[in-house]
Amino acid sequence: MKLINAHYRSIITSITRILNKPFEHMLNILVISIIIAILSSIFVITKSSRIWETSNINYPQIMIYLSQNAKQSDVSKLEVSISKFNQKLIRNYQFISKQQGLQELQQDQQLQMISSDVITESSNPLPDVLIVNTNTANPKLLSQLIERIGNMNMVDNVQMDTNYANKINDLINFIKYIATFLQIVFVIVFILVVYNMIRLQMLLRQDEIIVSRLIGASDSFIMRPLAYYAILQVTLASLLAYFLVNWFINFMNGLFSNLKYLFGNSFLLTNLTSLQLGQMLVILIIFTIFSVFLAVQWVFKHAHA
Amino acid sequence: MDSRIIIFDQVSKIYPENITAIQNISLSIDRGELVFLAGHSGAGKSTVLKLIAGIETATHGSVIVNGFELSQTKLNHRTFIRQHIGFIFQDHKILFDRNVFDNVRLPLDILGYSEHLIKARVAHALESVGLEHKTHVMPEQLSGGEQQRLCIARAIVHQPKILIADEPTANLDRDNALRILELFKNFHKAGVTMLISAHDESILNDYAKRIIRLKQGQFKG
Repeated sequence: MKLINAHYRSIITSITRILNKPFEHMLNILVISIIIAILSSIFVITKSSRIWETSNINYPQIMIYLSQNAKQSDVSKLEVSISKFNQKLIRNYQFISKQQGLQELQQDQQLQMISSDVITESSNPLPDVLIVNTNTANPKLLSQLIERIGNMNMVDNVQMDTNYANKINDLINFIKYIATFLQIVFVIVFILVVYNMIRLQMLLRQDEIIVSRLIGASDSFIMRPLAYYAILQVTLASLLAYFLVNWFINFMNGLFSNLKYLFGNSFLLTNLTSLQLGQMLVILIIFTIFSVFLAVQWVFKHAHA
Repeated sequence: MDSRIIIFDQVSKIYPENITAIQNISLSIDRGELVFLAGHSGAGKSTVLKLIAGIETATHGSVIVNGFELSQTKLNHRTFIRQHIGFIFQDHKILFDRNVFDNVRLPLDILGYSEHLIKARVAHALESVGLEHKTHVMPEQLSGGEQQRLCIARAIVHQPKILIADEPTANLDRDNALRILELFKNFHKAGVTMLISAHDESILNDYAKRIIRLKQGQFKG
């Protein structure tokens, strides 16, 4: 009961502190909200890129050449096995029979001579082929996939353009690394801003802290109102950041809809879901408490109270 | 239960730059005892009081307060021991950004008392020191004697087992000083262990039960 009382009083103290000097605190909230807005925007762009990436990037194709004596039943079995693979690995597949292959070859202007003179319906040397469109550019996953397919019955040869796969993978990883790096940088900036805000608050209230310590206040008694004060500021800043990000999304989507007529493929930013918003707030609050803890320890270490 | 509430065993306190505040002091104070610590400025009175409150740590020897050996207690745990001590500071240590009521309630906030109990306890403490009519006054509007009484009210509001007063009568005229000492006499009658430091012995004679005299960090006589 005493603990609930103490928490309740800390919350009231924090609200009163903010309401007493709204302009001073508004500046803090504004700075924090800009940092959160940048963090959220990076998250929104990464999330939207991932959606765009799955429908617009051509992931490597795997060509499965079947044995010459493969029958229709073998092809069906192979198709069943491939369709059982994880959808995260395989988007779809297409079967091209040896007859289809020959027809395509005969229709090709440049190869017409060879196909008509050397190859006939009865002596068709082309194999049945399965073209698998993958859903990933991860070289490790692709090589595992190729190995598994290669071990299947009636599969003669499996080929993939590894060079193309590596390039796609490098590009995706590069974008991911940049996004992660920026997110880490802004999380550090966020921690430092909250840390400094609390440190300044403690220095402003040094007399109160020293007197409280002298008459028996524990670390948690000192830290509690500061933690609530910071959480309250971060929550208000998150709310403001949400509106900023919303505005940013609408603005950017307007630009992208114009570019759609130029480049064909549309890229749309999707807003955070309520769950993602909640998760983000929880993570920010954890970072806030961590920053408050660091700031309080710093002041205790230097104030010797 | 040990009848002694405060025990000093061969205690020395040496500050940085080799400044010796007290040297090899041994003493014990019984529960409910009223003790005066006399001596000139710089004799080591404040250091003895700060060691009891756990504000300072002994360089040598052991300080036991209410069964806790303070030199072996971590700083954070020492704050809990302070919750059972009322300390009247020489410089009052009043918070000037809040009124009398909010100053006095601070120890009760630390102990997590309910709002209802806080109101009752603060009213009682202010009544004890004669400041009941100044509840919502800001500290800068109080006289020196009233500020001292405010500090006393804050020290007694949580009904501590030990009350320590560092030069409570300094900077007060004789009438105010006698009024404060009268207050202490009443607390002592209520069973509180009291340790009061003062450099003017003449004022103590009517109240003293036991006087410990300090000179240059050591007991005198």
